[in-house]
Amino acid sequence: MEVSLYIQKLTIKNFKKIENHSFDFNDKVNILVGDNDSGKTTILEALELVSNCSYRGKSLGAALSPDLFNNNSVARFIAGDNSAKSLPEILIEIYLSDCPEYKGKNNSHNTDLDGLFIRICFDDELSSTYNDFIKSAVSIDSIPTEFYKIEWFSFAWDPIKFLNRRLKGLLIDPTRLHPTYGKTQYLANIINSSLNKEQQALLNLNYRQLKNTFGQQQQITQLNNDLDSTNQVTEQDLSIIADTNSGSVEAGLQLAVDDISFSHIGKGEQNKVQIKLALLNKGGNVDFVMVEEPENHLSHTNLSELIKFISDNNQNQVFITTHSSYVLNKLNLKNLCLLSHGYLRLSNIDVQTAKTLQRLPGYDTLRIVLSQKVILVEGPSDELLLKKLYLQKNNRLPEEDGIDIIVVRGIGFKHYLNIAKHIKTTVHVVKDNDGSYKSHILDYAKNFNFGNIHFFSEKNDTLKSLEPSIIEANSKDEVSLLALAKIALSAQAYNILIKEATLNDKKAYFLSVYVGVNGDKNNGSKKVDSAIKIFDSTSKIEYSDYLKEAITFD
Amino acid sequence: MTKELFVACAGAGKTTKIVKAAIELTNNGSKVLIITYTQSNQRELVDKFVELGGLRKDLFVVKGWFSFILEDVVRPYQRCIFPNRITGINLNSSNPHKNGKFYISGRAEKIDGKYNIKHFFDSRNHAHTEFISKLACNIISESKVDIGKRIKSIYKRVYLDETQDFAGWDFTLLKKIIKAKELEFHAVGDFRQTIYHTSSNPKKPSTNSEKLAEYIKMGFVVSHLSDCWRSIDQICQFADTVHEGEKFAPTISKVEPPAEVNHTGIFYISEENVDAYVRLHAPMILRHGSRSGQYLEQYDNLQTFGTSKGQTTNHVLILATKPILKFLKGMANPFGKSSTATSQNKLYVAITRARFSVAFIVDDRHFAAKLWKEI
Repeated sequence: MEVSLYIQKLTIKNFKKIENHSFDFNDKVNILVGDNDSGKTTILEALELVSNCSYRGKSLGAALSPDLFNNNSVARFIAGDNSAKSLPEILIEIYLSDCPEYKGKNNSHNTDLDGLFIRICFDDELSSTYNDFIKSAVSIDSIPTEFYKIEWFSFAWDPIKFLNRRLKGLLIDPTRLHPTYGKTQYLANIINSSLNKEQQALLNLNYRQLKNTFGQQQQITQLNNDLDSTNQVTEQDLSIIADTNSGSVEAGLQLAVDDISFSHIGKGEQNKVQIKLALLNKGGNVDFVMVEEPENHLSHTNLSELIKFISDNNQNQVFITTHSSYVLNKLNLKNLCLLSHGYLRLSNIDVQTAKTLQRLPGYDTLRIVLSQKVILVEGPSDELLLKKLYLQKNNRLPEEDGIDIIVVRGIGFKHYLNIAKHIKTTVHVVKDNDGSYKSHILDYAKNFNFGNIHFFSEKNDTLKSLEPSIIEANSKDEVSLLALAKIALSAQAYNILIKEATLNDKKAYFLSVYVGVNGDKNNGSKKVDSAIKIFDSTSKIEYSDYLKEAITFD
Repeated sequence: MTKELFVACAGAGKTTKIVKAAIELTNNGSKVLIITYTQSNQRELVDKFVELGGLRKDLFVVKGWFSFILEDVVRPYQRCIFPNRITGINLNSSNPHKNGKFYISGRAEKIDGKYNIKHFFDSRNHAHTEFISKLACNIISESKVDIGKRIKSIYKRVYLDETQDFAGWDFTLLKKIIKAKELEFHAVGDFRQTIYHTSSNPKKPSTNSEKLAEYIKMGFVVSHLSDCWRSIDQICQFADTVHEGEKFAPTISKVEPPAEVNHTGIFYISEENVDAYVRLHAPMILRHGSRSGQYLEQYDNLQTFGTSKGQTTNHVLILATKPILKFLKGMANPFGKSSTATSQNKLYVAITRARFSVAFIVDDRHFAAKLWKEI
């Protein structure tokens, strides 16, 4: 089935975390990423509100409370003259791809588009009552929602009828699965998304018949006959029956997995079953699905399986919030909807980068996406020395100032930079010149000529990597070189070094320590050993200029 | 050929034809809109749809003309003129801005170059039906919207039933809607049955020939539905004479009176014989207005020409008015010079209710030799 109906854009005014913002979406998968409190959940709740006129599974009429209003709008109202005019209103609009019945200009863009809106606003009919109320009220410290009404209209300004509405969303929220709360609603959702109308009717019918036959069971009849056989209680006939009138089918039914009642199976399994049923949408009653943090309660294997299921079964539009780089990479970075400073989609990200990270989902892409300032380095020794340098200079670790140092490891700088170039994160790249500052740094940097990306490296071509550069920086005389060697080298190596005749001989030996037995240049473990020693030492050393520059953010 | 006009005779089975075509379209998953003027017609269409086995009620949309204008044209774009949502319609029977012969002040269409809320709406924010098509036309121009495109994207085909009742501003609105080339728009109607208008004081086109010419000018391809499935040949031919000389195709009767019916044809009854006639044939009795022929009120099944519209009966008994007498006597120009030809059309409606016989109550010596007598 081809996706034709999907949400292109959402605008939110004065709803919870979001004061006034609009969000464009992808037609299939949307991965909402942002720091805690950035408004991911508010977006899902807004989508649920405008598509179903319900808030967290409850009808909006019942759920309408001052908590739904954005704090800033509430503060402005309280500080103001409290007049009816100054009461804030919530407006949520959804713009749809293809729903001509909902077409019209009754939207905040005043443009002929398909969509619908929900508006929670002051009810003009209550004007005089409200005026009396504010005259007599001692002080107003919240939004008087009793004076509010709910308007639910298409852009054609036609009222939306719940049962005939064109857009139906399902919010999957593991917290709703608490055994004492919302079972009915939750089961209703499952029934709704999994069974078509005929099947639902059959379920209802059979359930009612089952209840009727309860009373006809021989033992029940016997029990009822004995209940008040002498008519001491009442002149009439007293009996125990199954309650066929009260409550819906859902109230009396329960879902079972391997014969275990649903509320008693693991949270992870509950979550998984619910998400899968909704995505399969066998009943055809759901147009889009919202999933909050699918990584919750799931083991890595289960998560991996669930993510595969999501990416294989997305005829419907899907909205997922996540704190997991794994989920993000696996579902393809191009589906990223980023909420940090502003809102950004990564739909035009480099295809190769997205593919690589789908295959190697372990890389921590969320860090580069969510951090404001990032230093990308080649290896752990670079990270340790930069941290030490920052600490030495500022008396704080870089992470305390919101600077995230990321070791690029196997996949190199390229993929991280392909992400960074789309977003506003300031990135400092600290890279070895590998023998040619011009070709390995200057020419390389031309591929990433973006205002937020800066390169830092040793300009002297003979100092190919970090260690030679650091040694050089501490070689102005023998005393300083020995001070470095004392910190960085093992006692054994240090003892060899001090026996070398000249300063140059000493430097040559120092460098040779980092060359492996087979002549390979990178004796990684030795380098990291040295870096740890420098990091742990209380003595200060000299650092190369490019390192000093790399830790300085404007 | 997406714009068609079907000019039907009375009893041509318009409703059946429309519903059959609609069932075929809806079964293929296409949405169909049928716009009609009267509520009884709306009910009849829905009933017929079920009767003929239509399954996709969700795709079969029947709306009144005013609801259609309000929901599909006015509300989606009204903000360019009026910021508050128009909550409904006020069905006017006459110009709402007139009190007797006097115009109420402050009700002009525009005041200081701005649209006047009081011209278009009543105090409850309901739109006056008298001006709703004009309102729609204004909103379309002000909001610069392609209304045809909107309608086309929702409905595969639109039927405009009872086309004859539309006039003036309705046509202006129609022109804007049918600009959408791919929109299938089928107008169906019988101009001879025009007895009321969507507006009480229509601007042009208002006469049958003006309307027909307007449809042709708009690019409608005209075809005639002249097969009558209700009345016997004698009645069809007689009914055709009411509009003689106006380019309507001759009606062809497709029904024969069954053997058990022995009273067929056209009759003239004197007042004193009405009682006997009614007892014998139990006709539907039709009069011009509710004040004419008070003595008829003792009988069942008494209606006015207007309310009889859309009904079918075996025999009718018509109380002849002065113009009708003139017509029956074969005098020239019996109906005078009415721009809307209402009295002429009402006679046509009255005659064509009958399957088998039409009788006139005549109080005129001219008919002495032809009068019906109880045998």
